[in-house]
Amino acid sequence: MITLPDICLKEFNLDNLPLVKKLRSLHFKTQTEVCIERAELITEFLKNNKNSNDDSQVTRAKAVNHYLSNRKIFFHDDNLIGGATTSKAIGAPLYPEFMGLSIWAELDTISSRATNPQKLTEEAAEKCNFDIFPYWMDNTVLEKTRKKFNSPLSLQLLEKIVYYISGKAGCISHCVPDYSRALNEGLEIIINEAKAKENTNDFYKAVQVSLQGIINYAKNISETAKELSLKEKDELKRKNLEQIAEICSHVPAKPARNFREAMNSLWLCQVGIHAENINMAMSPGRIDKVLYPFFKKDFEAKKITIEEAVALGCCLWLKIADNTNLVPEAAEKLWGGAGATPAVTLGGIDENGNDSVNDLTYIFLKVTELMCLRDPSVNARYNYEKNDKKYRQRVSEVIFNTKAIPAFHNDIADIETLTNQGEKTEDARDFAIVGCVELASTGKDYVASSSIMFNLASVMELTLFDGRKYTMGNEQVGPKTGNPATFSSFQQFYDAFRKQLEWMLKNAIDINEKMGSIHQEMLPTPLLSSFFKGPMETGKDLIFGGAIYNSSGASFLAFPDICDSLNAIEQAVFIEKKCTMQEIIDAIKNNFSDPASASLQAYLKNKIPRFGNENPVSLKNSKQLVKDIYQILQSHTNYRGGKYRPAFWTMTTHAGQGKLSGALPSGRKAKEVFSSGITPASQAAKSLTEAFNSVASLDSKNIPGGWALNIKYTPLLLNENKEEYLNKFGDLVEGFFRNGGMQVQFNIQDYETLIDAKKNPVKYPEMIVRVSGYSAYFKDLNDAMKDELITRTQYNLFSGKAVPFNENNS
Amino acid sequence: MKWLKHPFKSFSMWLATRKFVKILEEGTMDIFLETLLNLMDLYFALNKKFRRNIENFNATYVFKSRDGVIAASIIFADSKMKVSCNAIENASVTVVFKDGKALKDFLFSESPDIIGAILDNEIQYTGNLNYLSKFAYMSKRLKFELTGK
Repeated sequence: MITLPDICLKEFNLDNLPLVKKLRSLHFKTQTEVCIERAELITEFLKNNKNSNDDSQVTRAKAVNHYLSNRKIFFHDDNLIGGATTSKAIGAPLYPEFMGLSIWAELDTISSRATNPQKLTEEAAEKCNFDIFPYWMDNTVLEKTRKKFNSPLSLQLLEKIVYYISGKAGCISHCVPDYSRALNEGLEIIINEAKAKENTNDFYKAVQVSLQGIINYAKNISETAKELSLKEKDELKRKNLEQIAEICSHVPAKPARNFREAMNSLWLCQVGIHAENINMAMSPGRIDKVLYPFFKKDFEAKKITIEEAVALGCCLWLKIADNTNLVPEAAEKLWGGAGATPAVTLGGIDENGNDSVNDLTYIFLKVTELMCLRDPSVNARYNYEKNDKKYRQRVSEVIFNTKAIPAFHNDIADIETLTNQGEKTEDARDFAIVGCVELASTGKDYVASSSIMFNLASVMELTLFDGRKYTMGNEQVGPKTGNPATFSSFQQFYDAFRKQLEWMLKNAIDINEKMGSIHQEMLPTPLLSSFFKGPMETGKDLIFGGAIYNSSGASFLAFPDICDSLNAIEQAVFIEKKCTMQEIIDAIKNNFSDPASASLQAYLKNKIPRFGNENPVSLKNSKQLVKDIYQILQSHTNYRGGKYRPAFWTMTTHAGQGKLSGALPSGRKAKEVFSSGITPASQAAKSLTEAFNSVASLDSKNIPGGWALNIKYTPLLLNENKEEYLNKFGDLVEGFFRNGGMQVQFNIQDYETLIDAKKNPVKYPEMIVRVSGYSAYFKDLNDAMKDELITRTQYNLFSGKAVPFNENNS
Repeated sequence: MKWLKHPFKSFSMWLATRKFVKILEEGTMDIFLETLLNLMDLYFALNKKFRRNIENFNATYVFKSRDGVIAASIIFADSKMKVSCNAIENASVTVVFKDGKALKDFLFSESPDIIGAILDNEIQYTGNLNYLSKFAYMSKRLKFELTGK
C-alpha cells in the first residue's frame, strides 16, 4: 500500500541530505585497496588450528568463524550502518582458494598499474608472497581439479580461454539468500534449531559455528563503537557510534526491533556471507519486500521520517558498494570495469500474486536516483497486470535521471520461465535478480548462474575449419565435421555447427562438474545454506544439492554475431549464391584484408539479414539457435541434481572475448568486440520496433538464465517534452514486455557525449552506464568496451529510428 | 660487506648483472634465459632476504623454446636453486616459449599479458600456473632490485 504523498520524493536531494552527500563524495574519492585480512586469517586458521577429526563442513565453518571473530573493526566514515565486508574503505578482498594468486606476479605493481590500480601495501604484499600464497599454491580449486582429474581435456580447453570460461575456478556465489528469518527471528533462533539437530549431521554443527562468527563480529563492532563514542567530541558522530553500539549488540543475534536494526542486521548477514563466499553477485534480493514490515511499523508509529529512511537507504547502498573484485591486470584489460554486482530487486508481485510495490520501493528508487552508484545493481520488476502504471513511470523517470539504472524486468515472462523449470508458482513469483540479469527464487534456488561463459564464435570457427582452431595454430580441437566448402545445403552446415556446439558444451559442462566436486570437497557453505530453504530441513549443504531448486547457468557470448554469421552463410552462399563457402573461408583466413574479401565483407555487413531486423531468415536462425542451446543444456543434470540453464548476458566479456577471436562470416573482423548480450549488432536494427520484436520473438522459456538487452536512447532534446518522453519510454517497455520480452536496460546517452567521455574521462568522473547486465563507471572500462558502448545503436525515442553513427567521429 | 664474505660470487654477480642489463637493453634474447637463471642463482646465494622466496619451496620448472634450441630445468629444493640444461619429466610447470623475447616480454612486461601471450602462441604452459606466477614475481623482483626498474 502506498502512503507517500509524492512517490518521486522530489523534496529530497543531496543538498538537503548533508550526511549522504558527504558519504557519497568520500566514496567517489576513495581508491580501492586490496584487503588481505580474510586471506590471512583463514590461512592462519588452516595452517595452525585445523582439527583433523573435523569434517570439511566443520573445518570451513571454524575457519569462517575465526575470520569473523578476529577481524579488526574500522569506522572509515560516518555511515549509519555498522559493519564492512573488508578492512578497507573500499576493498578488493583476496580469496586465495579461488583466483587470488593470479596477482602474484603483480604484487609489486598492482598499486601503480595503468588500468584501475588497487592499492596494496608493501607489508601486505610480503605477507601474500611469503605466508599466504605458498600455502595455497597447490590448493586452489583449479589446481585441486587439475591434480584429481589429471588435467582433463575440458580443463585444457578452459585454459585456452577462447572456448569457455568456467566460473567455478573463481566462485559459485551468484544467488539470493533469504534474510527474512534472520531479521524477524534472529540468528540465535537458527543456531538453536541447528543445535537441536546437531547429533544427526555435522552440517548442523557447522551452521552453529559459522553463524556464531557473525554474532561475534557484530559484538566486536558494538564494543569498538562504544569505545570510540567515549572519545568522540563531535556530538552527531558520538550519537551515531552509540546507536551502532546498541544496534550491533542486539542484531543479528536477536530479532530486529526497528527499521534501522533490520537494515543493519541484513547488512551484517551479507558481510557474514562474504566471509564464506567470494564477493561475486551475492545478491541481497527483494529488500523493499523484506524490510517493508519494519519500515511500516516505525513509520506508522512516527518513529522514523521519510528523510531518515532515505538517508538509511543511501547508507545501505554505500555499504553494498564497499567492495569490488580483485583482478589481475591482464583480466582487467580484457574484462575490467565490473564491480561485485550484488543485485537488489524492487517491485513486482508477491508469492500470492499481489502487487508488491510499497512505500519502501519508492524510497529505494529515490535512493538509486540520488546515489547513482555502480553497485548495487538495481533491478525493477514490472508486472503490467498487477503493478500500477505510476510505478512503471517512476522507474522510467529514475532511468531517465540516472541515464542508466535500474534495469526493467518483465514479471510475467520471468515467472512463466521459472515455472517452466519446475518451480512452484508461489516460489517463482518471489524471484529476484542475481548479479546481472539471472533469475532465482529467493532463498530457494541455488542457481550458480555464472558457471559457464561460453564463446559461440569458437564454435563457428571450429565448424568453418572442420574442428580446427585456425587462429591458434590450426590445431585439431573439435570433432571432424567436414569441410564446409563441400556442403551442398545450409542445413548441412548447421548440422556441423550443432555437432561442434554439442561437443564444446559437453566439455564446458564436464569441467563444471569436476570443479563442482572439488567445491564439495573443500568449500562447503554452511553459513550461506542457513539462509536458504532446504538445507536446514534436510541437513544438506547447498553445495550438495540441499536447496529446493538447483541449477547451473551458462551464458552465451556472441549470440547476435553468430546469428548474423549463420544468416550470412544461408543467404549469401545458399540462397543468393552471391559467393561460395570457400570464398567466405578464405576471407576469414585473411581477415577480409585483400580487395576481393573487402568487397565481400561490405556485402556481408550491409546486405545480409541481421539479427534484429525481422527478416524471416534471421528470425528462423535466431530461434533455432536458442532452441538448440536450450535442448542441449537441459539434457544435462548437474552435480547437485539440477538442470543447466542457458542465458544471454555477457558482462564485459563480449569485448574481451571479441578481442581474442577471429573474423566471422557476418563480416566482423578479427579482434572486434562482439555485440553485447542479446542486443542486435550496431546498426543492425534500423528501428526500435524491429529490435524489440526480434528479441521478443525468442521464447523466454528457452532462456531461463535470463538475457540482457541493451538499448540506447537519444537524451531529451530541447524541443521535446519530458512528460511525453517518459510516457513513450514506459509505453515501449510495456509493449516489449507484452510481446514476451524478459528484460531491457538503457543508456540515455548520445554518440557524441560518449565519444567525449572517452576522450576526456576527467569531465565525466561519475558517468554510469549499463554494460551487459550490470552497471559500470564509463571511465573504468577498457577502450574496446568504451567503443562498444559508443557504437551501440542510438535510437530516437519519438521517431523510433536508429540514429546513424558516423565512424569518422569516433 | 657481502663482497668481502663472498668475493667470487659477488664478482660473478656484478658480471652477470652487467650482462643481464646489456641483454635487456640490446635485445640479444638467445641468451636471455641462461643469463636470468644464472643471475637468479647467484642472487639467492648472496641475498638472504631474496633467498626467503625459496625456503621450504620444492618445485621443478622446465623452460624450453619451441625450436628446442633453448632448454633449461630448474629444481628448487633445500632452499637452493639448481639449473640444468636438460628438460626433466613431470615438472611442476613446463613453459614452452616462442623465443627469448617472448619469454622476456612474458616475465618482465609492466603489464604481464599472460592471456595475450597464450593466445598469440608465444607461450604455452602445462602444469600449475601458480608456480609460473611465483617465478614471474621472483624474476621481476630480481630485475627491480638489480636495475631499479
